[in-house]
Amino acid sequence: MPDLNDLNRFDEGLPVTPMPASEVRRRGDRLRRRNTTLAVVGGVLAATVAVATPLAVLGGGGSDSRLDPAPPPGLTWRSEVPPDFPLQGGWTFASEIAPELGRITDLDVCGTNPLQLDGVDRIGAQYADAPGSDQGTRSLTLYASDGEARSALADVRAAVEDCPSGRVGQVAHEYTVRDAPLGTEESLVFTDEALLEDGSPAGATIYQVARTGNALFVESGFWMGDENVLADELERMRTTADEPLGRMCLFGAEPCEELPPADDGSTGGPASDPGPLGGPMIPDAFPLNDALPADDSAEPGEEMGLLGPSRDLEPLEPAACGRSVALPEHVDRLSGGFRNVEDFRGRMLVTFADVEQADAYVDDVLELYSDCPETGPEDDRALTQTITDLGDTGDRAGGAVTFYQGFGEPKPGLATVLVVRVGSAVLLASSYNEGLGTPAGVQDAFTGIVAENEGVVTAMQDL
Amino acid sequence: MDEREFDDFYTASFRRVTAQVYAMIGNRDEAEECVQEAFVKAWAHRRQLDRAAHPEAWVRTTAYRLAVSRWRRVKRNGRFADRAMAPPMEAPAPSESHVALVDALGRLPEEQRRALVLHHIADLPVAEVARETGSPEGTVKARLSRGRAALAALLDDTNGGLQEGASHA
Repeated sequence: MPDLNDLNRFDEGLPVTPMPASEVRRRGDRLRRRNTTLAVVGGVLAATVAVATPLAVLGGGGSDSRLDPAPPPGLTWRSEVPPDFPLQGGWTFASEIAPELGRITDLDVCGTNPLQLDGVDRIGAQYADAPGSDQGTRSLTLYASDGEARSALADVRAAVEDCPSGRVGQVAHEYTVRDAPLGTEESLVFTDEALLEDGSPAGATIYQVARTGNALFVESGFWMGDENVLADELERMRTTADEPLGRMCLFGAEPCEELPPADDGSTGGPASDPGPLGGPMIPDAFPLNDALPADDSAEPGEEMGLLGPSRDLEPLEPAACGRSVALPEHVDRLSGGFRNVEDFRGRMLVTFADVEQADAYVDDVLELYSDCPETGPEDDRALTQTITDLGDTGDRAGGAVTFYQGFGEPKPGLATVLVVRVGSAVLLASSYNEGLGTPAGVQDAFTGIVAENEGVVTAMQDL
Repeated sequence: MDEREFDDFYTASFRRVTAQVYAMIGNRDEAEECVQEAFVKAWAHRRQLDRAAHPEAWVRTTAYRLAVSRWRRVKRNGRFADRAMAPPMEAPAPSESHVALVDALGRLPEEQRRALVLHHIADLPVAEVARETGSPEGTVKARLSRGRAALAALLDDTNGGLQEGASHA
């Protein structure tokens, strides 16, 4: 049986089944292409094709027709993707639209891109560099007519049906059409599953191709997992793409209405403009003080009552065991809070350029507390319980409760910190009051700060 | 890093890094998948890898973060049931000794476990463990001390008697 010495030879004899190095490089190259060549060719042709030839939606077949019948009079197809089309809608990781990078190459069936027909306008987006196994791309192409869009989709379908399996080096690829309608006029979902020589899976690419009118939406998502997980992933991808798929109706023969333009940042408004570093700016009217006590509930005094929300308040700086976490470089910050006798509550909303920077800040805050479980003399001891992962709050959340003891007995004072990340935004909320550090008191303090900040976390979804 | 250098690096370090991540997260198959993916990212970001002083540490950290990220997503989406239903992997099972060690490591707090793995399995000095985990050296030493004591006790329970073990530091 093992002992501590076995730690030093742990890797000896451990069975592993690495894929061939050449396949690792091939997939790395593919990932690299996705990260660097996904692109936009938007507007290049649009200036000369102001309005493309219209065509009413015809019932029945015609999905593979390449020539359009004469268009009914009075209908026009869009020839430009609206600038506010939510191509990145539903993605929780940082993503980018990069018009200078060239043509999107996000479809690959047996080594070729079946989309050969040029559109009149095109936008593309990709995850900037998502954590986890997700790698995603999306594109939206407008064709001169819905017939051309039908033809493009038919080309993709034919490519998949003509090549159900292929081989690249030592890796086999199996292409499977999935029964997963996307809710648009026409759609195709298929998977490209890579299999090693021994038949073990080496990841899958899921493609969602959807057409409405003259628009073709293509999404690819990379996934490593087994068939059961793949089924989940298909559902997740479809749900995540609800927003762009839902707006495909803009390109139909009878288009739906445009969404109202972005408002001036009032509560509940649409997404904010990106800041100078690429992350979201916080609207001035963001409800940062939501659910805090009313201003007039505090004791009289200039420094009592609600604080902010304002960018001029000092940033919160968590501290424990003589260390503190200063606010790192960020895009925007808004601070608020409430102050009363023996009741101090602070809130700070910070946006970062990307999710990784936001995650790093959350890591720093949580580690500060987890590194300091106890401090102080026996008669005035501070003990901290750290919660590193709250499953259902924001994209990621944690916190800490610090309470006090004198010779093992609870003393008044509870300091609670909650940190929540939603996208690239982080909420830091703190509370201090005279509660007691009993198990029930600690539990109540933490559930209380989570509940009190629910509204703010919900509003963060709109940043 | 050219193709040949990468292939040599991959061949030499895949098993080692997989073992380290396995010891950190307690799931060999998941560790292997994450390490595999980390090497894919390593090749995709090979310029960045060229600048890294310790390419293996880059891969290990990436794989560990992937595992944590997956775990969070699995937890958020409630996919444990799916995992349980998944067909068994083709790879041979780890030895009893590996399983027992990983089981004991899994009962330690995450920070202690990671420190033990990096110091004893990855053979990093305390200063390197501190750098990789972003913690002060004193904290790492404390985690190692507490972790060793706790692990010895856990293995003692497993073995029915304490076998005085390694003192790597």
